Amino acid sequence: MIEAHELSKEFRDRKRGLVRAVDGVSFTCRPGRIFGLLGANGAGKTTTLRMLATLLTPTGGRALVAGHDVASEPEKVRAKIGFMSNSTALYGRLTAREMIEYFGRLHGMDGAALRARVDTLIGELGISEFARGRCDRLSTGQKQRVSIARAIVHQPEVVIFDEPTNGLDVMTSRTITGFIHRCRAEGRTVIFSSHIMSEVERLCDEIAVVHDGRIVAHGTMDELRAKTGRTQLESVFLALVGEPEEVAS
Amino acid sequence: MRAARTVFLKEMREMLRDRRSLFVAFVVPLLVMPVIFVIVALTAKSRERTDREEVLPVGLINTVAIPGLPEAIGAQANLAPRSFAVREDAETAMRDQAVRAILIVPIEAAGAFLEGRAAAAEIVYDGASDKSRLARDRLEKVLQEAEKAEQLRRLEARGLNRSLLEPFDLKTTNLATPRRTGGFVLGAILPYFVILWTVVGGMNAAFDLCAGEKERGTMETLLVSSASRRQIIAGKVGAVWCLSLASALFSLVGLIVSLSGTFRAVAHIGGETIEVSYGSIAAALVTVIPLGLMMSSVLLVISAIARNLKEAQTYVFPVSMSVIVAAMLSTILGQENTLALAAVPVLNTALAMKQVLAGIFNVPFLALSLTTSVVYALLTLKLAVSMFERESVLFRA
Repeated sequence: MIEAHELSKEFRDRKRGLVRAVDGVSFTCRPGRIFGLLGANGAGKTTTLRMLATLLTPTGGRALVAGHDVASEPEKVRAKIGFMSNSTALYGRLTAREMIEYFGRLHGMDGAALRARVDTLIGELGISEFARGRCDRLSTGQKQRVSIARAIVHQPEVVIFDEPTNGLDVMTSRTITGFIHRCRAEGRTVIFSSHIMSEVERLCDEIAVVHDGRIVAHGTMDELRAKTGRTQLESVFLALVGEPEEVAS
Repeated sequence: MRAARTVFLKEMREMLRDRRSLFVAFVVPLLVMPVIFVIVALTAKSRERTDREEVLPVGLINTVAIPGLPEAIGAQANLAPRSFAVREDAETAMRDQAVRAILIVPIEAAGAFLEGRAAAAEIVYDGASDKSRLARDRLEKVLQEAEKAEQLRRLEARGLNRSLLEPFDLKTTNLATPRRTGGFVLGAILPYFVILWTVVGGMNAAFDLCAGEKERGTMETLLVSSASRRQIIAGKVGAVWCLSLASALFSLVGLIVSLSGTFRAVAHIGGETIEVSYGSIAAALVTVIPLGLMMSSVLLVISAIARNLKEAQTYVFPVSMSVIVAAMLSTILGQENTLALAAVPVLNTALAMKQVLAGIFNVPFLALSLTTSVVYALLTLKLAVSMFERESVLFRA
């Protein structure tokens, strides 16, 4: 469960002065459902997710992740979340197995329990054949699978994905989207961000459209269609953020 | 602190798999420094030999005026005398490097010398040429010998004793044991190199552990684990500290092996043997421990602030320059230092190490220097932790 209430983040930028990257965002993500943040680059998606993952501290509002406050109990929050983005890379000089074990240990796992969990993940995600290979020698697809294992080694209640399929080929993207579906089936709370309309449409139970740090619309795909009176997600999106559609489309 | 231990062990494992870090931290101090020392020592030795043996042509004008002088010059195996009639010819020859220096005795000198007065003499040389200076020194030496012989002759002619001119019969005795002499020689250069390696040895690793992680995108992966920032940075500082101390140890071993080899050769000439006690070396290493922690913390602060490896390497420049200057100062300053110097970071460690190696145990100085080093180490560690806890530092756009 994620509850964000009037969540805000201000940065001090040398050139632009005070920047409100996220401006009073509120939403709720429930277990067993996939919540999507849809928005253009720079809309505030990454900042929002980074606040939920306790990488950044909110400057306003509050957020509870798995019952813990992100600002006052960051370590408890991190124990309950699995976070993946395209800037969560692997340690090149560790083997795939060592990588997963290392993060298990950082989450306080140890001994036989850790070994059993790592074995399970290696089996389930098809990592066995390259488990002893160094991470910097793995293919992109193999790396993604190790990243998934790393993110869920501690059985997190909440899984946060920041543009997880950005820059990946179709095959590798499928590994990720398959994994997102699995997380929902297992009853985890899933939140993910993307600027790819079709991906959001295909995966999400609920969508929040983010623009300029604010949520401009919120609901299921059908609700958003009804609200704008359009069927194509792209047109729905453009209508919601208030951009005129190109004449050709 | 279990997470700190996990981070520490993982960082050590990764560093030991990184050939570049290992090369800089271990191979260079252990092997490259000794090789440089051996080359320098051999060059110095061969230089010394050519300085002694190379035959230098010198021009002589009217030296026959002083009885015995041409013979004395001719007796020098490393001088090749050539007579000239006029000064201009001799100076032309010197410009063509056919002679390296000229000894001129004016006509009237003969009379003065015989009458027991001071005879004028002049040596012409080229101050910008090593060989000319060397030829000048050799001619001067011959003249000094001739002067001494003439002094004795003149004194004896008047029935006087030599002691009239040399009221002191001076003799110097060296009380230092070979061990202390060794400590002194080592103490002059060793702290400089050991301190340099304490910094350089951990530098690569320190930059890799924050700036490198940002660059490679593993920092976020690490920060979303449930380990606290404090534990993560503690593990990282520990790993860099370990590597920097190992590097200092390796440089010490490399230096002592190469220096003892080199000095044995040099000592043969000087006739002195050189020894260093293992106790002194161990004590010298202890002084590096707090310095290692301080430098590891400083390097990690830089590494945390930097957005990538390149930035870290730029930011570290003033730090490494200050360390080099402080370490160099220790080679200039003596072993008897005022207590105030014990409060200067880096320099205090260098001086403490120098004293310990020379067998001087100045307890107040050592205690103060160790205490201040520990305080500086803890302060910089605190700074590293607070930097690592600041999101504006870790997520600099």
